[in-house]
Amino acid sequence: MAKKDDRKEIERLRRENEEYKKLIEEMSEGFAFLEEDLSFSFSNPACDSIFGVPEGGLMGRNLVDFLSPESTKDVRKKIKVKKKDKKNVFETAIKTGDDKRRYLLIRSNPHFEEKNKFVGSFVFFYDITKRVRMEEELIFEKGLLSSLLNTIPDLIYFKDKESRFIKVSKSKADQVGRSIEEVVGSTDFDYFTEEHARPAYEDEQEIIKKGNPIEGKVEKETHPDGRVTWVSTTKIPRYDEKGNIIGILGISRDITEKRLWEMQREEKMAVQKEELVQLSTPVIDVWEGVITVPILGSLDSERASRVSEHLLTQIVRKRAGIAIIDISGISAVDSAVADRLIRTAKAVRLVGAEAILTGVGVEIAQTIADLGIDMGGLKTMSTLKDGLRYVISRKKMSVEEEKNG
Amino acid sequence: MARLTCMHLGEILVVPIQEELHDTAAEEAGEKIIREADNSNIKGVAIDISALDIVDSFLGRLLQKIACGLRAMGKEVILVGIQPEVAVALVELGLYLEDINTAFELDSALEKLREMINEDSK
Repeated sequence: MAKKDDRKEIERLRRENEEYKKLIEEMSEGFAFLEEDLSFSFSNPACDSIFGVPEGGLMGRNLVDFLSPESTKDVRKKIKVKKKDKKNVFETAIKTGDDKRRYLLIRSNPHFEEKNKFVGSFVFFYDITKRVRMEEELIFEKGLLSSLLNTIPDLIYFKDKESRFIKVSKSKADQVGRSIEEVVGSTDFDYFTEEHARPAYEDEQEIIKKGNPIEGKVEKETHPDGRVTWVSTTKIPRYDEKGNIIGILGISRDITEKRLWEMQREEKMAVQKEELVQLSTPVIDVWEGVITVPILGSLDSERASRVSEHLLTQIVRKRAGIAIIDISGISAVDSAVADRLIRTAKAVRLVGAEAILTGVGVEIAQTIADLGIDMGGLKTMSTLKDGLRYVISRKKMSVEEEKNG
Repeated sequence: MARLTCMHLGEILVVPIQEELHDTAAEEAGEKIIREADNSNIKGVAIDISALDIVDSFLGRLLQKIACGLRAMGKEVILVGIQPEVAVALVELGLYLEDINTAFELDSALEKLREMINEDSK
């Protein structure tokens, strides 16, 4: 009777044993038994694979073989630690049998005999290489972003859908006189007057709605203390993983100095333009009550009205009755130019004088003929000489008329 | 109410326009000029606008209308004292006022007007 029970029990234990063995063989975690000197006396296939050796290849080998000299002492110590209610878990790096670098999470269950003598440990190994690499990369990227945001002079800012600041560069925080943390949650309206803040906000809302970026837009920043700065701004939408717009990224480059210089230049150019008009339309008295003005170069509509005004002022000042406009130095005559000359002549008439056009040479005459331009009653001649001759003979005639009276 | 001084100098009526005239005031002024000129002694009218810095398209067209009216009554008309800026502005607007004679100052205007009147009487 006892034998039968015994046999059943043995059978049961054997089966149980088989099941345990199978469990250990098939589990994906590395499982091993380390002796007192940290040599492997058992390892499951997962463990062999983690250590990069063929099945059974860990037998007789030592854990230390796979560790770097610097971490050996540390690992030796940690394997033997038995914590009361906590698991003994730590991380270390190994170099595998096939020369790869891996990161392992080690869970150690050390065993002791009397007098706390360490005799070995059941150890679980988990390959956490992927996670560690991701962490390293994350830290690296974070470092790059940090150094970018801390050192770049351009103003960089991330905003949410309501145009509130999420993160800014140090340069941006400095610009508005706050710390980087203080800026979070605020908006442009907290730092600039309506004149700048409103259109900036609307630009951003437009980008958030439609997704069209703004590149290199020149903006005038108006500060509450009255200061004005100029920036060149690029704003682009920010997306989440699903492709929805969740805010904007903005980069603004200060161009205040450049802008001031440009505005000064524009002013200077306007003054120069004015001077040029005056220089290029010298008004010469050629006879009593007769002035002549040569037009040199091109005659666009802007120049034409300036020349007109200048000429008319001179007519009035000198009390001239006749203005001879000489166009032998004009660069090109087309219907637009002819139109402007005719209009100038009509303005001359309005101030009570008469305009005569001279310098209509062969080329210009042909152009007028080809284009069929109607000179609108304006008297035209080929040379200044002809013009003068005409004017003088008319004056002689009027003197004679008076004599005969 | 437009205050317009019309000066009679023999056969010529001189009307200086001292201030900017708009809309109804301007039209009233025009009517007054034509009424004053309706006199067999008056043969020519000189309208002096040398005091005006700006002449808009409304006034420009009104001046044309007045000249037209006066000529219809057989009077000669001359416009005096169009300033350079005004001349440029009018030309920009396309108002060349071609059928109105012009002079810059009153004495040359009166001279021209007398010539025109003599021509008529020939």
